[in-house]
Amino acid sequence: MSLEKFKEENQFFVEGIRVDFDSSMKYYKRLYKTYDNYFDNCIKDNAHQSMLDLAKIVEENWDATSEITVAEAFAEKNIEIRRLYFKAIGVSDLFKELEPKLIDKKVLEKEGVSWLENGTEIPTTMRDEYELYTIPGEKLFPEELSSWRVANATIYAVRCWCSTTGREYWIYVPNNIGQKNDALEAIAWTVQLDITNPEYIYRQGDVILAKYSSHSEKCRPYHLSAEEYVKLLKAES
Amino acid sequence: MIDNNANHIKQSSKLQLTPGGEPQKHLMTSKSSFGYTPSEDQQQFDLYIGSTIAVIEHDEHSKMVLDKGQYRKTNQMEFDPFNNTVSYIFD
Repeated sequence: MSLEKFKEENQFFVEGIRVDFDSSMKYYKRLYKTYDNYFDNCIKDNAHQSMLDLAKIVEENWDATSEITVAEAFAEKNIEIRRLYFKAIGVSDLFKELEPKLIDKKVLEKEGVSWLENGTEIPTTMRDEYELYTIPGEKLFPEELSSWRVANATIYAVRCWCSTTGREYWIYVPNNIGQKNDALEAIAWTVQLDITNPEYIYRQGDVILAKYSSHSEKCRPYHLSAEEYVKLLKAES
Repeated sequence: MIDNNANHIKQSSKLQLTPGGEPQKHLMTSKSSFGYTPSEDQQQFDLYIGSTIAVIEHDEHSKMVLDKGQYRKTNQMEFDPFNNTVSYIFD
């Protein structure tokens, strides 16, 4: 079947939103970068034959497709599709390209521990910088008329750096956290625990280890406050 | 509080803490067995370390050492402002 006939005879949906085939390709290319990554996430080997047929067409057109750009996302009139594009572009590229507003910057410096090659624990001074940024809703969705919808479309992200590699990370946080205007509250929110009274936490990359204390019990999940984060963080790498 | 009564604890001397990830990432090992119980979604764990320490290694991060006790392993979380969901971050 020719590509044109395939496009004519099928409807395409991404996350429940109807898009045309070319737009879906640009979205997936930006999100997954490689065809193999797309296949692993969206199709999988045991998929229905119709999905495997789709995958074949996608594979044939993968190299000729360009990723959606920030400029193309802004040119998209349909807000729902633009939202999809922003998601595919990702927090880090979106905040780098859109000149976000720095709301708060905090340096956390405290004593912690690290380990020698033989496993011996040694005292260490941890030093982290956190920055909280925002992009106003009217910049992302200028056609929104209601002030509530514009405010709701405002996005916040905390910028931090890996203490081992120095690599930069951006993490979206909810509006109610961003509106606290505190970079420490923002990074603290990214840690959610379901035990009470932890003794301390270790963080290795995105993995969090919370040590139970003698008073710890299981509880409903809760996000840490800045105060709890600062108090509990004992090691990071 | 160490959950001594848990009878569903699995034993191993090697455990990958990020399920489905690459084997060199967040690999927990010990010279003797430690206990663990995965959560329902198999993505998080309770870890039970006895008298022998356990080490968590990753190809991009410095090692971490867990001494005796019970630990809750989880992952950092991120918000998705475009569909208002919260999910774990896996590097």
